[in-house]
Amino acid sequence: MTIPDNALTNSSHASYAARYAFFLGCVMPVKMPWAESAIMQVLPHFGIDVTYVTKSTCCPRAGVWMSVDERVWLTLASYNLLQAEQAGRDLIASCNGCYVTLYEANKTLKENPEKLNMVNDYLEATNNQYHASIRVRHLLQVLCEDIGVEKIKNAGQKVNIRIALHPGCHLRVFEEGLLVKYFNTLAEALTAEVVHYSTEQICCGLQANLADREYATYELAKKKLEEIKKLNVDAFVIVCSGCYDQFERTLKTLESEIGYKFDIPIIHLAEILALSIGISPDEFGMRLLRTAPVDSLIEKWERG
Amino acid sequence: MNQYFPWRRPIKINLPLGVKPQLIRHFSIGLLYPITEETLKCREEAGLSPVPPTAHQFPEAANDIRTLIKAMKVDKAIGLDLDTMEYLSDDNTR
Repeated sequence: MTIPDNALTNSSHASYAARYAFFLGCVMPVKMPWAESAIMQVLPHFGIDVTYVTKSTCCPRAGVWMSVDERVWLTLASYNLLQAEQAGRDLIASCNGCYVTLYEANKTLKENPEKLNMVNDYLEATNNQYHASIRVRHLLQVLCEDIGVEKIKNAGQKVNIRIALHPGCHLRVFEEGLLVKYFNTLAEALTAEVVHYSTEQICCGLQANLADREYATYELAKKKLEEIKKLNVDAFVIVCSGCYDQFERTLKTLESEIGYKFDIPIIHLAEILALSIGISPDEFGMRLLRTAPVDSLIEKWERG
Repeated sequence: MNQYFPWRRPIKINLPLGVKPQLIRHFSIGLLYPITEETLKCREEAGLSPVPPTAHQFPEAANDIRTLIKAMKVDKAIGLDLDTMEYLSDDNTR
């Protein structure tokens, strides 16, 4: 997949009015209400027709079923995809893991009619069919390709904060780094400064947790958090719910085991976008369920 | 997908211990995390429906997942009784 020529410059380039259903996944609805609320307010603000994927279940987990049993991966992913298809909508995911598992399943089923038939044989037990007629898109694609970075920049004000980014492994699913470029470009457009660091591309440790939790906690996540601590940034910014889940779990473990503190809030890019267009923090629950207080960040936003 | 993941190959492994409780939650409620009282409260304060429009709100979706798992005989392969949600043995059989 190549980056559309106009994706990072033009104000809007949707060739038709896409209708979307947002896939929540397992983590966002229970641990990140601020992200869900910000996304569901920001997208309509820019004219995007979005509802939820209702009846959604676990994506299923990208790093597990794809390798262990392709039937299970494709069938359980199709169960989610068909919910959007039945609503006549393309699917959006913000979690990189959910995106990869659903995007790849959809692509596989579009390209392999025999696999689609196999999946539908299983889905028949639930009185469902999937026709592989929809698109699966990452939130960053909708922001950069449907809305456009210029339109987003012109719609509000830069938030006067310094941030560090965590793109996450699955954001590099496309060879040219399409989604990582979108993440960087949007972050630069919306904030005073994006501070890059040497472990930026390193994994959060989520998948390693399945094999060795201590390694995932101390050798992956903690090393990254240690470097971010030294950057003097106002926020550590993610788009992936799976990565957030890993960092949140790591912080709880580190605090209970070694009294470790990490006072930089981990926030979603959509929260910065919400602030930039003037949605107040309490309108999307910014202060709730945080790993660290967001008060000083909000004060900087209020000062402009 | 070979162009993106040239090293990916099907594998047969023992079921990692950490995955066992996750699968029970996945097949019980359709998702990896349950809704808590704190979640309900915070979602409402964030301007969201207290119960998300996922399988949390539509338990028939979790029932469909169990139906699919049975149809694919995954429960037999991993030694999980879907009626009691208990593993049939403590070993790591796949």
